[in-house]
Amino acid sequence: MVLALALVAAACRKERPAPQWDVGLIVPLVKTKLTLGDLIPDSILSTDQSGNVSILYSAPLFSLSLDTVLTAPDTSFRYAYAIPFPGPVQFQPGSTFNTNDDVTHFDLDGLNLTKLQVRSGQVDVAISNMMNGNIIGLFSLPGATLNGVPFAISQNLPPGTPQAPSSTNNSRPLDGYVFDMRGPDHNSVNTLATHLSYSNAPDGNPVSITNMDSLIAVVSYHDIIPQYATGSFGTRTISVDPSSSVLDLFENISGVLDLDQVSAVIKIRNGIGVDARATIHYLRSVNTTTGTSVDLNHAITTGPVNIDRALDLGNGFQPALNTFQLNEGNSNIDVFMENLPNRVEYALDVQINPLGDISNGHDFLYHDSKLSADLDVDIPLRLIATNLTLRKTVALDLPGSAGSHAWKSGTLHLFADNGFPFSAAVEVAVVDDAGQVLAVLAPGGTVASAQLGSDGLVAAGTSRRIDLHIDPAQMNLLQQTGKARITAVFNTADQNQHVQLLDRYALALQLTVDADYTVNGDE
Amino acid sequence: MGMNNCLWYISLFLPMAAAAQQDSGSAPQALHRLTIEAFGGYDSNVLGNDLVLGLYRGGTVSNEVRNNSLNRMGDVNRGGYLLQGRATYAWGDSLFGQPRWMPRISLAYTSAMGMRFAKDAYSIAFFGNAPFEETTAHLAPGELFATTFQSLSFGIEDRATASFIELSLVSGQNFNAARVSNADLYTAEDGRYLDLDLDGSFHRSDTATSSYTLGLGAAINITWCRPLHVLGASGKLSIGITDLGFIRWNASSLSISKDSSIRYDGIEVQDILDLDNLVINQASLQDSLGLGYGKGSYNTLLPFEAKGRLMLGKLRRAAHLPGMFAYEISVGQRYLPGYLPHVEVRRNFVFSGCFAGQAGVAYGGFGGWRATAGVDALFLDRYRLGVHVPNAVGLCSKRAPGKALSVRLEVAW
Repeated sequence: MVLALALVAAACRKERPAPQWDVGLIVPLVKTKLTLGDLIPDSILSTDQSGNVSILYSAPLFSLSLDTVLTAPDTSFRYAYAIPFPGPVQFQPGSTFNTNDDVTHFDLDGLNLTKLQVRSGQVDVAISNMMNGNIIGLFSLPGATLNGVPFAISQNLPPGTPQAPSSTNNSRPLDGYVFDMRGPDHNSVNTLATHLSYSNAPDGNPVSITNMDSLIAVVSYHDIIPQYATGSFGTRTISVDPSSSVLDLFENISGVLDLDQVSAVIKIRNGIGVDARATIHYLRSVNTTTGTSVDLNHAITTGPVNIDRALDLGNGFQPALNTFQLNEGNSNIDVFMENLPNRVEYALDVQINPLGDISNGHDFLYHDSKLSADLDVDIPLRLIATNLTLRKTVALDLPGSAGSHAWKSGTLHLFADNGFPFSAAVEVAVVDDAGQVLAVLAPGGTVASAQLGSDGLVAAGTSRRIDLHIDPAQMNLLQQTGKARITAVFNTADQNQHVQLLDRYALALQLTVDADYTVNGDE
Repeated sequence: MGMNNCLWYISLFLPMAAAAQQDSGSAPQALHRLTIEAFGGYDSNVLGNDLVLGLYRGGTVSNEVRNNSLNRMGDVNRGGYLLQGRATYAWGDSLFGQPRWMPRISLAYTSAMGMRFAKDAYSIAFFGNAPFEETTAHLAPGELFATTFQSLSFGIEDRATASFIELSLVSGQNFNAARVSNADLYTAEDGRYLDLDLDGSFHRSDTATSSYTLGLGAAINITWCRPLHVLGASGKLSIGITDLGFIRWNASSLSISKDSSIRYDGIEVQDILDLDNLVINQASLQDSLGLGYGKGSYNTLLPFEAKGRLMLGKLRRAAHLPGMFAYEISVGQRYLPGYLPHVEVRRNFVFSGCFAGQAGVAYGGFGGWRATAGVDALFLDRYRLGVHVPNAVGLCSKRAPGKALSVRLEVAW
């Protein structure tokens, strides 16, 4: 080392190429010890007192959110004022000459709301003035309050003419306002009281108007997102188009997996204050790699499912939880999971208030309310694996470049001390960016299964060395793509009996290299 | 120290020079003298020119070239290089009222490296550890010292004998120092592990700072010359030491010392299938082996040279320059690893009034037996140019070890 340092340091000058020579290196590279906790995230592993390992996995199936139940469309209302006779009529400064108390009816697609708290939204008030004086317009919503103060907008309207009216626009946020949708008499729904008045400016001149002079106000509500709504949501059916959820439990795994037992719970949470009845047309386990799919057979997929309503706590809600147990006795959940799905497809209809307005107008929803379903699976790792394949493409950060690299050729030695009750055939291939195999490193081999005792548990581990030769052409390919695909094919020791996996099982791996290396070859 | 004390100490040295002047009777009378010297060369007792030049020029170093040097190796393998340039100017007809004394100033650049190494260390470096599978490579003992520095010196010279003393300010540019007393590397079958019994240390100058000066120091240069007569022939004896001093390198200098056994069986990874962006580089290996650097100031001695020279049989006198002798015997030692006492016997010949030639034989330094040669040219009694080849065979050979050349120009007026 000292010698090489001295000579190379003396030789290295920027203007000259670096000296290069070939050496034979035989060195350890990396080592690791794999347990089930390394192969499967700890967060979904469960171990009992005997060390038996289970997978507890939860995946979302579907979710219906607020906008499925309630949408507040953008709405505009027009208010016009003119004297009903030819005139002219003169108004003194400060005198009010029109007061209009009205109501606004919102079309809410079958919902009859009595109260609406706005999370966010805006109202725009645009008034055009054809009168020849300075007018003050006041628009207010007596039924919309924020901390007890009604909503109001006052606008100064410059003089205008019928031919050239003046225009004034004003916008205000409605965030946090509570709309009393019962109207001014508290006996209606979807109705908001409005007030509009005009007066001559107190510091102005007398205004003389005829029936040709008018005031036109346009009030627009838009981007209204409810924070809370209550009323009667009616009886209606919401169709959920076929959709799917991603399931990453079996990501990168293929082959045949025979599970001894599987249990699962489908949890449907209803955060909306309505009774519901769901008709699940199908829940489908889809393996896009193999192209196979398995429909779940269970009572929830063969008939309607009644779902309780959430509880209104005043400043929040408590969702109703409806659970449905699945096991091999009442479903095909084992086959469903053994399909190694990477996607769950579903289609369903949800009917709300199937029994009518049994809450007497006290249906409700909050902004965070939703109707959702999750699948919780409990899979004891007692299984038969047949050609269960774990495949992963890794991007290697190799020094040098495709045209110049230090590692030329050699042999990778993979040493395995296997304490798992399954064998593992290892293959390493050079792949391109599209995942196409460009070269397979031979000969590869199989790490034999650990030896099982009479109790079906591992009694002794096995050791094996697997060699992977890399010739110069393959090394060039690896340098070009920088990608290697590692495939491990697992087979349990006994193909007729399920074997139990314990948390103490481990696979120790060490990778060494015996290769030709060119000093300064990366430059 | 006051000026008087300083002069008193100097007077301890220079009276001898004054005595020498009385013996000489042939002191050059010039009031100004400028000397420019340059030396560049490397040498080794085992590393052939084909290897060294191959490393220097770059490109592929063939297996044959590496084997040529390997085949020469034994228990003691040495090598090193020296690049040095020095300009010295002495002037004046007196100093401190002393007509014999003249001030002198010199500016020098030195880059030097010396090393000694085990045959297995060379073999590992140039052939890898594969040939040592299931065996132990003995990489020690080994030592390396390499440094580059510049010095600015001020001193006093005795006009009659050329004896002088100089004090130098030294600016250190870089250094590497390694000493390995034990390093046994065992490579297990299939490379499953490497066992290294290591006892050694490594120090280097600051690598993070781009400053030209990474350390400061001081040195002294002394040469004492005395004319003499041996067996009726006039002669001259010169004893001197150059660059005797030190450099204190800055606080960012890197050091590591290790006296332990290390077993390396690979970098621990969490998931053999998750090698994305795994980088095995020098830093990660050092961390894995517990070979991280520590920072701190560090002192090194300069690669000083002590040299004695006996010259006999005066051949030629120059009015303004030192004369030339027929025979020269020199013994020198440089403070660098792998450097043996260097002995040279030289015969000088005068070809004409202007030209002289040299031929000699030497042993030691970084190399072994060497044939030396050189030429001198004297013009107008004021200008002298000398070229010396310390390794005449190596200069012309592709495979023999060592190449070196020195040039010396003196001007007096």
